[in-house]
Amino acid sequence: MTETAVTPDEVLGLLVGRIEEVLDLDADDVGADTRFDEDLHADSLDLVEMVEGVERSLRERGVSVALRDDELLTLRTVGEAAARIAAGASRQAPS
Amino acid sequence: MAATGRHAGARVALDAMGGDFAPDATVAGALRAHAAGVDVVLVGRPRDLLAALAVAGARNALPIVAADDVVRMDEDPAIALRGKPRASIRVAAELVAEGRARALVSAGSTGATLAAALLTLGRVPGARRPVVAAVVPTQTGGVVVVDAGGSADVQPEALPAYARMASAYAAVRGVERPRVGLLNVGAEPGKGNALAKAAFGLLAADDGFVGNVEPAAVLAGAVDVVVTDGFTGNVFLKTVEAVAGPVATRAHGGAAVLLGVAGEVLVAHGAAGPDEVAAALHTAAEVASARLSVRIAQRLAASGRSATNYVPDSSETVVDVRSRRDDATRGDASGDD
Repeated sequence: MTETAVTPDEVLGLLVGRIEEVLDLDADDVGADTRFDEDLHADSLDLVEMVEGVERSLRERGVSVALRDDELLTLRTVGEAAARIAAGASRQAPS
Repeated sequence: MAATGRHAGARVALDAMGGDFAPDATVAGALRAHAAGVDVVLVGRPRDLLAALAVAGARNALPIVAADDVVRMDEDPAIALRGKPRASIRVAAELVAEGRARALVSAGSTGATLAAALLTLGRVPGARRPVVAAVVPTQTGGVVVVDAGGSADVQPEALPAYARMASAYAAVRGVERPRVGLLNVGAEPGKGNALAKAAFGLLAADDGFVGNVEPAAVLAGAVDVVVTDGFTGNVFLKTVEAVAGPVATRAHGGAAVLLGVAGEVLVAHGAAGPDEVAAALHTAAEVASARLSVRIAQRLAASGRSATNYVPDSSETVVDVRSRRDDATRGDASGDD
């Protein structure tokens, strides 16, 4: 990757919006330091719902993401998730 | 619900690989429903499904959509679905999302069905967690039990949305003004545990709410909808099954409906035989024709953002947000179905 496909901050914005939707929370309650387990009690379905939603939004912007299942299950905080997703993102070749 | 021949446009996708006796029982049930006028598409491994159709002497009788994977019972449903985009339950849900089918039926794991529904179809706005609604026969017809096994631990704030969603289902079943009761150990206000007492207060002003109801009153037909948490609802359901026989509840619609998913999704009993699968397909066609999920969305929208969850107030901390989660055991209470 020669250029950044998406920044962690951009992913964070998408992720917080998705968390708001999936967990029915106010975005004010969620930040980069919010922990999935201890703070949100998010289970694996919540995590997959959130991450797939972000992946879908990025795909619509021409960015592909490949977050492995083992990575997904070890995510601790919202900020860490945003960073991992951004790090694994790449521009899709124009079709 | 008599459904025969009235749902020509409501194609139902059947996860033909789901259930203890799949695909033989699912295919046989689909053939029965098809013969009675339900438009069914089978989703699963073509080889297995063609073999089951051949055994039934009905080669080429039903359309098949290929899906080569299945979610095993020992897998985490959400993670398994992420890694198996061609799992039969996910492909069946996609048919509904794409408009190629109007409803989905599975006799596979409730957790996998719920996960596939949420990941593929999403939820009705305001429905935090989909809940399981089952119809139990009563002396006067049937009562919609909600939650019949979706979320074992809930906050009282979740129950008014359960009542509204289940009332929409009762209305689809032909009850014009559904009477809603709160399952309890006594009829008087103030009875019950902390959850029941708090929920009573939250339900009190709701249209159709008649108060607390004991199980005997529920079975006598005192209400059209009975609301409770998923643990109590599942115990109630299993007690009725133990006393009246499983056929009594399974034959009554054949399947439980997931309320709060943005599409029509039904879960048949894991041990469903052909008759139960056929009945589930009829029920699916019925709720699809009635556009149940759209009616639920309308009912929740009309009731504002009280929905299924407590809305945090600004003075509260994230710890309070955690304590509000209502889904510690989502899917678990009915995990054997």
